[in-house]
Amino acid sequence: MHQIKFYPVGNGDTTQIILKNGKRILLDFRHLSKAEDQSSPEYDLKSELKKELEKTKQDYFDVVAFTHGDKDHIDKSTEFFELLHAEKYQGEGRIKINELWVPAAMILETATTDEQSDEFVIWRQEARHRLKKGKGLKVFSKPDMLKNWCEKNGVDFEKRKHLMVDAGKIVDTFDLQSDEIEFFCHSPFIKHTDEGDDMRNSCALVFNVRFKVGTNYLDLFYTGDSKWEILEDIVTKSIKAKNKNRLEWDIYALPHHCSYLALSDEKGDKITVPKPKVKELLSYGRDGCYIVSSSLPIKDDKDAHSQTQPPHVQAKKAYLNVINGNNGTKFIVTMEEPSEKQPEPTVFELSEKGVALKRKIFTASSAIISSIPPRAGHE
Amino acid sequence: MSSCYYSFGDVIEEKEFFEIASSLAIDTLAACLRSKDFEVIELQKRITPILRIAIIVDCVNCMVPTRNTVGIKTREKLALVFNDDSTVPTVLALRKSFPRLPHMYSTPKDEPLSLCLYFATWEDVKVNWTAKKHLDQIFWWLEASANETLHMTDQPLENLFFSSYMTVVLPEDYHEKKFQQNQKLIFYPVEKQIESITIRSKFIPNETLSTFNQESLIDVIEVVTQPIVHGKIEDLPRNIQELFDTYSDRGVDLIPLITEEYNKHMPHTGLKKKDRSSILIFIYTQIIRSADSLPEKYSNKAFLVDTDLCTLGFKLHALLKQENTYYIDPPSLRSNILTPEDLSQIHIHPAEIKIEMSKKRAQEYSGINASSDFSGLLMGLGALGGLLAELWSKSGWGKWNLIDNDILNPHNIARHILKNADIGLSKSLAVKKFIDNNYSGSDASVALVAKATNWDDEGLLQLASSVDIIVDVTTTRYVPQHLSRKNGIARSCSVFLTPSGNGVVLMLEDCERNIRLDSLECLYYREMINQAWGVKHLDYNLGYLWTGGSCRDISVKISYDKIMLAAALLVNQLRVLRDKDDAALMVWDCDSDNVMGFPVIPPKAMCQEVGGWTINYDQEIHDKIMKYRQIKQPSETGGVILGFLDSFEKRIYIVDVLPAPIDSIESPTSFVRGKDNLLGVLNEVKRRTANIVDYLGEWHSHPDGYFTSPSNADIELLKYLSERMGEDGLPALMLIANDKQINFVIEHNV
Repeated sequence: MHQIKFYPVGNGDTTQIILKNGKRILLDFRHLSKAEDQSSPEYDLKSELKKELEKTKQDYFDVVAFTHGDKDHIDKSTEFFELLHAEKYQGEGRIKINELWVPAAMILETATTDEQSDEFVIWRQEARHRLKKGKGLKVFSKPDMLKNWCEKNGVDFEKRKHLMVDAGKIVDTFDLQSDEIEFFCHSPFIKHTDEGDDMRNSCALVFNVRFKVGTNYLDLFYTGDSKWEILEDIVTKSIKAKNKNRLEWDIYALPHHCSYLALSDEKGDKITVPKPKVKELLSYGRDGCYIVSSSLPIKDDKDAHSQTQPPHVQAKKAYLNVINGNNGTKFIVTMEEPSEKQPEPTVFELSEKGVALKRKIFTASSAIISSIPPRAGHE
Repeated sequence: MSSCYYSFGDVIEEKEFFEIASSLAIDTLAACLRSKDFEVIELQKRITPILRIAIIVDCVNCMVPTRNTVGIKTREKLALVFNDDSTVPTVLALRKSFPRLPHMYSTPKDEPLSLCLYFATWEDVKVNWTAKKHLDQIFWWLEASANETLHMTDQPLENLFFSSYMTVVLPEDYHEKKFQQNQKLIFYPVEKQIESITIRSKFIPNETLSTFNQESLIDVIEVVTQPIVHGKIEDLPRNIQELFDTYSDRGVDLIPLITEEYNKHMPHTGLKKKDRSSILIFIYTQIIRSADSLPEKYSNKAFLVDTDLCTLGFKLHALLKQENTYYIDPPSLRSNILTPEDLSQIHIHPAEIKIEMSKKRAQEYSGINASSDFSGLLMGLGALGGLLAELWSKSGWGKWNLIDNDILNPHNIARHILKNADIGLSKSLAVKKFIDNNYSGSDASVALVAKATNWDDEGLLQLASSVDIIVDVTTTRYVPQHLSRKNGIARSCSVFLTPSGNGVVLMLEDCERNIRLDSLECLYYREMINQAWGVKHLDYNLGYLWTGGSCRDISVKISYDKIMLAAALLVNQLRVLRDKDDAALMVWDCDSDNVMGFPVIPPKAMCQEVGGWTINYDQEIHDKIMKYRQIKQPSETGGVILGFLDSFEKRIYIVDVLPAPIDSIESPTSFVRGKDNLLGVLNEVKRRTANIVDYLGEWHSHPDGYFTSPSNADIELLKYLSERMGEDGLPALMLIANDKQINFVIEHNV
C-alpha cells in the first residue's frame, strides 16, 4: 500500500510519500530543536525519520523536494542530509539524497552578506553544485534568468535541459505504470521567476501527485505556500491546456498553514470568501476527500479571529464548507491529530479501495505509558 | 436531503434527554461531545413499543477507504439507541441506502438497519463497557465492514437466513434411508422447552404406520437449489409467497423446483386430500464466497407449511383436481398465472434442519483427525459441569443442586455426558435425570432451569445461601464476579478450562469468604503475567470451530478426553481443598506430554473506598510497593499500576504494580517515572491476559514520616492522568506510599 505521511512540525511542512515498492519521496523538511525536549508536542523529525530509515535499512531518500527556501520548509535540513558540495556536510549518519528537487528560484536567489550561512544559501550551493555536475537534480521551470546564470558560470544550458521540468509537464523520475505514481508540475511558471519580485512563495513547487492503484486514480494536490493568485493562474492554465483532470483531488495539502492569503486577499470577519478560481479548484475535491492543514491547532475564539499569523480560523471555515459541500470526509490539522497534547504523523494509506487513514490503536493508557508524566513527590 | 435518511423518533431538548436518559446514554453523549469523530446532530426519543432514546450523530470515520465497494461512506448518520442500562445499546444506520451486510440484526423492511457490534453477551460486555469503547466499537465495525475484514477470511460464510426458533432434527442416517419405500419418516415434537421447539423424527416400517397419529405423518418435499453467493442474512419468511420472493431475490426460482418434485414422486393413481396435514419443505442451498468460487457450506432450511400436499400442488398448478382426487397437471396445459394473494395465505414456520450426531461428526467436533454429606450448588451444566456432576454423583460426593438455562443441542453431544435421546431437553433436567440413574434409591439431585446471574430470583438466592458450597462452571467472567459481591451466600468456587483446552483453573474462596473470587481472579492474572506458564496459557492453539448462526455462538475444538482430564483434576483437587479452610488458586498446564500443577497461596485481600470507587488489592501488592520503596530509600520511587475495572459496579481491581523503569529520575524530593520498555511490557501483559489487564494509573513513594496525601506536584500529576484517561472514559488512579501505609487517590474526569 502506498502511504502519504504528514508530520506534525508546527506551522511548517514535512510530508513523506512511501511507495509500495519502497521508494521514498520527502517533500520539505522542518525539524524544530524544541521538539527534542520530550515535553514539547512538536515531533522530533530527525530522530523519527532516522528510525524509519533504519527499519528498512536505508540511508537515503529517492527524492527530496524543497518547494521553496523558506525556513519553515528547510529548517535544520542541512544538519540532517549529506550535501555533496562541501565535505563538512558529509560523514557518518547523514542521509543521502538521490535526487534533489528545487524550484529554479532557489538556484537564482541572491543573499546578503548576513545571510551567507543561512540554510537556503547552503541549499542554493548544493543545487548549483548538482547542476554543474549534471546529475542528482531536478530544477522546476527554466526562466531566462537560469539560462543567464548558466552562461555566467560556464555551464552548458542546453546540456542541462534534461534536469529541467516545465509547468504542465510530468517529472520523468517516476513512472505511473511501474511506480504507480507520477508528479505533474503545476507551478512555477517561467513568468513567476522572471517577472516576479517574490522568489519564494510565488516560485514554489506545486504538484498534482497522481497514484494509480488498481483501476483507481487517486490524487494529492500539493500546494507549497502558494497564494491565491498562483492558484488562480494554475486553474486558468490547466483548463486552457486541457489538463482539468489535474485539478481534481482526493487530498488537498492546503497552502501556507491555512493562511487566508491562499484563498483571497481579504480575510473576512467570520469566513474567508475564496476567489472564484480558487473556489473552482476546491470544488474539484472528490467524494470522501480530505483537506490537510500543516499547521498549529486552529482555535475558534476572539483572539483567533484577529490574529495576523496563520493559521486563520476564517480560512478553516472556508475549507470546512468545501468538505461539507463535496461530500468530503474531514479537515485535518497536523498538530491536532490524534491530540493536541501528543500529535503524531497523519498517515494516509492508498489502496484499490481508496484513501483511508492508517488505523492507530490510540488508548489513553498507551499514550501515558509511552511518555514521561509530570513529576510526583512530597515537595 | 432528509428523505435519504430514516427518522428514529421525535426530537427532544437536552433537558428532557437528561431527565429520561440512562447513565449509558448520558456517558455516551459526553463521549460523543469529546470525540472528534462523532458529531452530535440532535437527540430523539421514541415511545413505541418501549421508551428508547437516541443520540443522532454523524460518524466521520477516516479509516473507511473512500472508494470501498461495500458502500459504507466515510461520514455516516447513525442513531445510538438506548433503552435502560440492562439492555445492550443498539446502533442504527439511518442512511436508507446503507448496505445490508453480514453482522447485522434482523430488522423489518423499511426500518433502519441495526449493526451487530458485540460478539459476547451484554452481561459479559457491560463489565468493561465504557462509552468511549462503545464508540470505538462502532468505528471498528464500520472500518472492518468497509474493508470486508469483519467477516474473517477463514470464518465460515453466513447462513442465508437468521435462526429460527424451531428445529427439525433428522435421523443420523436420513440421507441413506429417505427414498427407501418400505419405511416412512415420522415426526414428533419434543415438548416445548424455553421458547424453542424441536421436532424429532425417526423411520418406522410401513406396516406399523397405522399405529401413529396422522398428524405425525408430515409429507416432505426436498429441493436442491443452485448455489447462492454469500451476503446478507435474510429475514425469515412468514408465508409461501415471501419464501418464493426471498429466494427469487437471490436468483433462485423455487416454483419449478417444487413442481418437479411433484412430478417425480406423485403416484399415477392420484392423491386424496388429507385433513389436518402439513408439509415440510427442505431447501438445500450451497453458499459460495463469490460467483466463481467453490461451494463452502450448505445453508439448509426447513419450512413447515400449514397446508396439505394436494392444496399446495393445486395452487402451484402442479396438480389438477378431478372430483376428490388430485393428479399431475400436464405441463402443456398450464396457462394460469399464479396470484400472490393465494400463496400469501399459506403460512409457514421456518425451522433449522439438524441431523442427529454421527460418530464421524463427533470426531470432527472433538478435533480428532482420523487419528460425604453436604449440599452444593453447581452452576453451569455444559461439558465440564455435566461431567463434574456425573463424577461427583458416581462417588457419592455431596448432594447437588443443578442450575442451567440452556437446552441440549445436537452438537453438544460430542463433549457432553448427555445422550442423543436428550436433544431438545433442558440441560439441568436432563443431567439430573442422567446422574439420578446412577444409583437407585440414592438422594436425588435438584434441577433448576434458571440463569446463574438472576439474583432477583428469590429461589436462587435462598439456595445459594442454604448450600455448603457453590461451584461455578459457567465459563463466563461475570458469574464469579457476581458471586464475589453477594454476601450471605455459601463459600464459592470457580473452575474453567482455557480456550486452548490446555489450561485448567480452580479458584476457591476460604470458608470465611475473606478472600473472594474477584481477588483470586486478580491473583490469577498476576501469576499469569509473572510466571512462565502464563506465556501461552490463554492462547487459542487449536483454532476455531463455529456452530449455529449467531455471531457469539463460538465453540472451540476441545476433545472429550481433555474435558475428562480437567474434570478428573478438578474433582480430585476440590475434594481435598474443600476439607481445608483456606482459599486456593490452582492452575494446571496440560500439554500433550505432561500435566504440571501450579498451586498459589492467596494473600490477604484488602480494599479501600475512594471517591465512590471500591479499590480491591491484596497484601502482596502492598508488600511489593513497600519493598520497592525500601530499596530506593531515601529517594522516592514509583511505577505504573496494572489491573482492570468494572465501570458498571465502580470497582477497580489491582493486579500488579511495576517497579520504576530504568530511565526514571528518583530523588529524595521527587520522582519522575521513565518510559523505557514500558509499552512493550504493557503489550505483553495485555497479550497474556487476553486484553483484560491494562494500565490503571501510577504509584510513587514519599519519604519516611511524610503523609501519603498528595502534594501539589502529585495533584498536578493526577490532573494530567485524569485528563488523558478521561479521553477513554476511565478514571485515573494514584497510589502514594510512605513507610507505614499506602493511600489511593482517584479522579474521574467525565
